Amino acid sequence: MSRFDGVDDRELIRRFLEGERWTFDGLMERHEQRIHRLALGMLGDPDAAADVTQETFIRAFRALPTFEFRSSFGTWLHRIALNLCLSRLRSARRHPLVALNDVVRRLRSGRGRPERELARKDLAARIEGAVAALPPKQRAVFLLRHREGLDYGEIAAALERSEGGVRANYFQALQKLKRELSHEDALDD
Amino acid sequence: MKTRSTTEACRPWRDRLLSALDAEPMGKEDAAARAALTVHLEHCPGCASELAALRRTLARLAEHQSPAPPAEYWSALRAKVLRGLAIDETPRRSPLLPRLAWGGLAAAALLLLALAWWHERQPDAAGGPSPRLAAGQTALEDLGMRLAASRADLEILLAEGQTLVPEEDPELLIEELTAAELVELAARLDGLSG
Repeated sequence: MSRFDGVDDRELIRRFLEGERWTFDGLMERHEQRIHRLALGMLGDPDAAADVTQETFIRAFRALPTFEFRSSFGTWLHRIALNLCLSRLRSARRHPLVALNDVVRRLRSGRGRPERELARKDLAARIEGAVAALPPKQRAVFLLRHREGLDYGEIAAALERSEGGVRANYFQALQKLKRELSHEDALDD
Repeated sequence: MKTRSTTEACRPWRDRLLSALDAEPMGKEDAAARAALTVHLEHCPGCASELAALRRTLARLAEHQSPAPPAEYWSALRAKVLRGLAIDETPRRSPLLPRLAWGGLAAAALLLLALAWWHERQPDAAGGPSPRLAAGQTALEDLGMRLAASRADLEILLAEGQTLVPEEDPELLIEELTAAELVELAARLDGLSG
């Protein structure tokens, strides 16, 4: 039970803008898990996910006076978090050392091992591996749609893309996941 | 077995399979599009199989839920965010502070200078000028006397300079010499160089 139950985001934001800064705690409490889950799904690294979650709320706090309610607060947060995640992923591509760290981490967790060994891993690891292998934007759409249950309009707003494009991305992601998981099933047999 | 031409023909239908997977309506044409897809699926085992495979994939994906961190994790994360905000807010919350600090320092420095100046101008306990001021006055008087002496020396030198014979031009002197004097001079010079 939270002291913010029964108070919607709009009301919390209104009070925040009137100087009741503590209401931001309520906004964090309400959205932190979603943002963290999204960041973890995008980056696959708990430390990086925690950093992105923290940075997302710091940026939201700073920019809240300019928030115009053109989308929901949650969608707005998702947009901030996704931009941070995509920026990190771009940076990791530009700086091979970061990518190397990621590879090392994956090898330690078993993701980078030979296919036969990979096929023996549990379903959770296989799914995570398959999701991690999606291109970043498809991964973002999949996570927002499948794990967060956002509708296509909300995802389009979060990614600043067309709804049709988002649908196409989701379908492509599903087809890739289907291929990846059925390929591993074949290796299991 | 599906031929390539069958696959190509099914491509538009494959792109619409999402509408059969999703409960979410696609728009105004949704009902008609869904009905057409249903008819196609009844007659196309390839597309029906693809749809079934996608449904299985979604079901498997739904089986997996990422483990959520414990409650302490979130309170720690919130504290971290608030700390980040505190650091971020420090210069914003009191933007006048640095300026006030510099202004205070400048005011203090001016005050010290003013006090020092005032102190220098104060007479000592006996009613006379302060020791440093007295020393300064003595040095100034000494400098004045030395300047006056230098001026007198310069005037003497100028007066002496006016009485000196102007230096004669050597070429004019040679022209005025007689031939005999010139021969004698040449012999003397020859003797010097020898």
